Amino acid sequence: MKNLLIVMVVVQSLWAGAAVLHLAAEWRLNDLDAPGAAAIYPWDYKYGYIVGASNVLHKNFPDAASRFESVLSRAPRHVGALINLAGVYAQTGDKVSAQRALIRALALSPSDPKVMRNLKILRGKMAGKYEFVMVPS
Amino acid sequence: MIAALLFLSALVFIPTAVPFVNAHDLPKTALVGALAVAAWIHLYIRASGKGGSRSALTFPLICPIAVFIFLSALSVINAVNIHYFFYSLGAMLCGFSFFWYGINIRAHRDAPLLLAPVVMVVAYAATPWLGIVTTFGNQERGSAMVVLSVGIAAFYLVGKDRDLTLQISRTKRAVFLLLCLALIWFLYQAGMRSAMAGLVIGLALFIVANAPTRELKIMTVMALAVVVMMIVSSVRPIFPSYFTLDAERPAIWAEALRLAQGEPLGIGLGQWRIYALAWINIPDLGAGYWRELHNDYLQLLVEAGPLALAAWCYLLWRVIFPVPSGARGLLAIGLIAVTVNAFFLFPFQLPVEAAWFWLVAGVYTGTKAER
Repeated sequence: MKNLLIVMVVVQSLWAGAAVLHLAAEWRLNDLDAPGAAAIYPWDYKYGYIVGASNVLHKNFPDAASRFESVLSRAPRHVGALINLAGVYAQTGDKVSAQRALIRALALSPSDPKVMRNLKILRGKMAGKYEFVMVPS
Repeated sequence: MIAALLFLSALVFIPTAVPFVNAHDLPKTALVGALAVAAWIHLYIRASGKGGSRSALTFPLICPIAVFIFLSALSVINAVNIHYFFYSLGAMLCGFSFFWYGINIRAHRDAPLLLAPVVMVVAYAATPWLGIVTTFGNQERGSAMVVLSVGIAAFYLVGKDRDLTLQISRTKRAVFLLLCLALIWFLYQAGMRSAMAGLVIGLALFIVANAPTRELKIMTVMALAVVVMMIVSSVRPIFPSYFTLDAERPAIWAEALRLAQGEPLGIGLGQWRIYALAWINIPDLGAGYWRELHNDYLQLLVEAGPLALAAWCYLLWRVIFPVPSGARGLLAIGLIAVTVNAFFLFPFQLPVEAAWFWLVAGVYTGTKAER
């Protein structure tokens, strides 16, 4: 009985510890420090996504791409991350990768209007001028 | 002391309830997790106490709970995000911690501790009339907390007898019925339809358990239904529209059912929020992020499969039914209300609300076991 209780204390402590880390990350995010939040609690894709979106705004495309890739490794169905990743690839001239990301998004969500719009743009319907719809974090 | 903390901790989650301390805007999971650890340490201290302080601990329903946890844990095979899987599993264990703690603390013997939920109900009830309904926060949270508090508040009224096998006196029963009707009214005003329906059903089952004759059971339930209908229809001209669902719910549920058909072991605990990310831009599904499915049973079916859902339903059935007569049955009202509420919202996905449910369920089970 006592052993069971000790096991439960340990299990609950681990879970409570994760919850405390999450709380600390949320506090960092409250202070608009998304990278800090992502460093404290890297398991939540949300922080990486916010940092990626922030990198896009600052035109730091290589870092943004790696952030979105990281988000997709944790949340493979994140259509927002796929759209933004395609946008980043398109901005850096990698149209093949951009198209691949959008087709992946379309497979997940066939009637997504933002994906379809970006795919049309990418396929040259706007004379090579890219105006991607970005998904806010 | 720990029991007092457990009960009082609910207050800091509610705006306006406790001045200067407001955990309403913070993630509450950390606090609930810390309290769960404290609960287990408390039980450990009790189990290893010397002399007269030592008391035996009981862990009823450990077999069905273990089966349910095992079946849920099997879904790890399909989990895309292992972190969310373990997080959800931990939340589940946290709930059961409070269940066993509720059974073993015998909280009902310390009736003053139960005053806190009464204050909480008052704080909740006061918010709309003070014009600060927006600070109510999340209706999902509010509805789960309120329906649980109903049972505890009423339980407090009769719990002072210190003899839970007593039948409730007529006066107390009248006070209790009025309290419940007032809260049904409040839930209606706050737009918490499923919680209101749950409370009505809970109250009806309690009445059935307590009425001495079959005719009286039927009559009281019918009278309750009539009163509720009169309250609702007399004040709301848009009565029929009140019972419509948001358009998104059926669409999301249909997607979820399609998902469940292909995964007999489920997509993995805690994975729904990952799957729902694919539909954030779909207008038919609300063009928003439905992090929770708004039906806890369906979400469990999707995440852990039909066997886990069956085990969960069996567990809830064993915990709640049969509803005993007398003072002991009062707590069942809130529990039934939460389980009905879970058909349209997600009280079991919210750690604080789930912890409350299981704590009350523990006290309820503990009182049922006492004869």
